[in-house]
Amino acid sequence: MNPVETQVAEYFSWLEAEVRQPEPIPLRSAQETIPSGRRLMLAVAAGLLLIVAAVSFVIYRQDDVAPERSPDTPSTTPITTPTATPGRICRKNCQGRRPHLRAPRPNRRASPVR
Amino acid sequence: MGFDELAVDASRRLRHALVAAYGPDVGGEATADAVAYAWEHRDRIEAMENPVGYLYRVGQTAARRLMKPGRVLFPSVPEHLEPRVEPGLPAALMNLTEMQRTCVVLVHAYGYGQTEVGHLLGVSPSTVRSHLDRGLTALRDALEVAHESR
Repeated sequence: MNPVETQVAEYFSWLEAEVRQPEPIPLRSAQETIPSGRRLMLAVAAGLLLIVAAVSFVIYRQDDVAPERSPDTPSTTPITTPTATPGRICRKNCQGRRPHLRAPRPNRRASPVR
Repeated sequence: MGFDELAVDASRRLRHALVAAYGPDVGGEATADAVAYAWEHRDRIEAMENPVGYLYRVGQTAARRLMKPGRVLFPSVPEHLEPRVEPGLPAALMNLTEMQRTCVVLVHAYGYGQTEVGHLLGVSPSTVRSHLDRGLTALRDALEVAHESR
């Protein structure tokens, strides 16, 4: 076994070399950390997730938008109690008892004079 | 000696001493702090009799601020150095006192003379010799090479 003096000298000469010249991580090996097949799968999954998120957002927005009508033009449709639109899912879980869309405000100008 | 020459010379010796005492990471950072301090106070440092000794104290203060309990100062021995270097050497170095470690490493790893180490650490050469002997004895005991290599 080497004397401790030699061991200390050898250890510190390695340490100095290590501190001064840290081994650079080769770019190629860093890229190969994730295999190419797996990278492709991840990209496809991310793309699909993005599409699903976009479609969900569009559907959600369409559900909330009520038909626009100018406040000056009187409504030609008779005022009726709004009902749930058949074939659409009510998000408030009212099971068809409540209107799916926000009920239109009653047209005060068109209402009969008291 | 101009400040630039002083800074180059001081930073080399400071780094050796602080790496010996606190390992490459903390020692390196402490050296940078001490050199920055020297630059900020260059007029005062230049006028000193032993500027490196003073900056060593500045580096010591910085290193003690950077030290955390349980921090590993010296990395483990790489496989290619075994069996020439005992794997227990970093731990054995850590168990020495700061002064013993600094003296052992400066003399046996960086090739400093005992007078030079004394000047750097601000102690007498006989004190350095004393710390050196005790440090080497402790290392031999820890690595169990006392009787084989003497």
